[in-house]
Amino acid sequence: MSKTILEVKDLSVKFRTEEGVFDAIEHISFTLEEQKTLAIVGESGSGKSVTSLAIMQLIAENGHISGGEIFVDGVDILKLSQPVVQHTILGKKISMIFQEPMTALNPILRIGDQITECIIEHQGTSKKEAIAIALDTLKQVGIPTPERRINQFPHELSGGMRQRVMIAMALVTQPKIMIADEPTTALDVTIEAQILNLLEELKKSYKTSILFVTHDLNVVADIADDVIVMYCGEIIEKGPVIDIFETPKHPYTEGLLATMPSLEDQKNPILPTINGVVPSITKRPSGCYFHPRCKDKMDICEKQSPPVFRVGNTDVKCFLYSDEVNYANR
Amino acid sequence: MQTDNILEVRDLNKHFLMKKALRKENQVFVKAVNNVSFDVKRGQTLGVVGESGCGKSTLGKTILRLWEPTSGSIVFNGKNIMEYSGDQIRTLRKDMQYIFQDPYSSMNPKMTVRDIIMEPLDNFRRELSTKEKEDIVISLLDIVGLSINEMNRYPHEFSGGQRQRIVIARGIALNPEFLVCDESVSALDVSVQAQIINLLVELKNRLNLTYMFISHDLRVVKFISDRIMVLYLGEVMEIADADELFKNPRHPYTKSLIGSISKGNPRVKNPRVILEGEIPNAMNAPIGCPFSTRCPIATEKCLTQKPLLREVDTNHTASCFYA
Repeated sequence: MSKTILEVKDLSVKFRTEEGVFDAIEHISFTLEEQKTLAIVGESGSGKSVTSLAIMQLIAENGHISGGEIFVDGVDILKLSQPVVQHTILGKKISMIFQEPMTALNPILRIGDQITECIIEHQGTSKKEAIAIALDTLKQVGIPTPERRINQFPHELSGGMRQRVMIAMALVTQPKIMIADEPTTALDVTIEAQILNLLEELKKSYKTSILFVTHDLNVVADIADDVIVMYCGEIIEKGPVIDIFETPKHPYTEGLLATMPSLEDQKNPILPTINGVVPSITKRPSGCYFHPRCKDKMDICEKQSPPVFRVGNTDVKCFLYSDEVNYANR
Repeated sequence: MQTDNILEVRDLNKHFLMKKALRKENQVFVKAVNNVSFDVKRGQTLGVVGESGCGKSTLGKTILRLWEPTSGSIVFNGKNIMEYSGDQIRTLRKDMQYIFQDPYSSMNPKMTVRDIIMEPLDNFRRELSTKEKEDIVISLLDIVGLSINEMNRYPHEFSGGQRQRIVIARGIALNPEFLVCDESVSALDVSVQAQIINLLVELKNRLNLTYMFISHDLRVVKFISDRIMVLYLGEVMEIADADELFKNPRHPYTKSLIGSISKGNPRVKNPRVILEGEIPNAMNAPIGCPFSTRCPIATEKCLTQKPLLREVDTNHTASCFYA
């Protein structure tokens, strides 16, 4: 049994808006094992990014963590004081790779200054040592001629290069956990393949775990060991990647997998779809949040939020798997 | 010549002047579209794929003469529209429409959905009364799956998928024959993406449309297209029927593109063909084959000579010496 490096228990985040206070995520629980990749999948508004930002304590001003615990290496980081967390956990044990490197990098600072800032802050090295570490890390993430690159500004780099710089910045402190929020979404397929391979290699050489946030199920199939499917701020299915792809339990997961156009020869002129759209945070329905779009909707789904059932290796939040329903169907 | 081609493009060029200079040889051009030739059959969908910066959108806009081509010929419905001037181009808009990438920025935020969809009718169908035009708007909304109650709302009140529907309704308002869909589903969530793809397929059959479907997403292009054209640095690398292209890619670039897509199967991990490097800067594109700097099988010849697009199989062309 491998060791748990990150454990999130019952995490909830609330946001204040003009229309009132709303739950962005509700009672999220999951664990990330050492040297594993856990993917969080969901459509926009599913709360997948809020979950990762909550772990990094980067929730926007109008939001707050309203409950739950986040254990990093066995320590609940929500119980630690802010300066302690900033100095010992964030950026050091956990680091984050953002979606759009152009907005995450400072446009008026040279690449080298941005990376060394991070090294000096966390490792207390001299500027000279920091530059040496930076050059070494940039080389490891596959940046050719890093000596020239550290004197350049972000706009002088291509999208793929910028993402490599982001990854290098996340790596310099040798974190145990890397949170990657849609790191390849803005990239072309050939570059995406390069970056995914790089992450895979780095995971091995740095012995880190990766929490990979994405909307792209194909990427998940390639890199994840375990998968969490989120919908409207809740985890609706959770399990090993093989189980999720081959025997999806929740109607939403099943629907998502079916909507992906296949590469095989298929002359079905129409793609399977899920009706409707993800409801906005202010207009979540009663009962199971997915019921208005669900093809297997039952009466109970409108009234109650389903509990989590264990089916095989998967946890699924759906009444289809409750004993009563199965009994009635027999 | 086959007569069922709605569009025949020959040696189309669109060059942008990047650096002015007094002497012509010192001027720097970006050849965004470089000697591109292809046909689109009536009622078919031509998918255009390639990485960002390969000239997909420029090509689409140039064909519609939204941008002035540098040279070449564009024959639409048997007429060379390169010879058209101002007024004629205007009337062309009725038959050829462009659905832009980002539905939000291509709609006026101060106009209601009714006015947005009615605008092309106001411009081109002046003989109609307001009532008649409104009836058309209502039927268009119905066709694209929006309700009439939503007619007086503004673009920001809609979700991404609904906005895409509005833009599509506007695009088909004048009964065009040919639509260029530029990354029409790229910004959408997976579940919504499938809905819009289905809508486009349904509209094509119902209204006898011909599409040029531009996308970087090979899965979507494979699904929706009859034929696929692969672009790289403004040049055509390969053209073939959709199934043929995926089963039997001939150009090394097409092979690596297809190889880079995930198989979507967790049991098949990392069989990806990794293409080294990145697309070169278009301002100093390679002299020979545009792909030669990244190509795994490039030779001396590829660096100095440009391969021409040639037939490598029936209905299958590629521009590679070794295809």
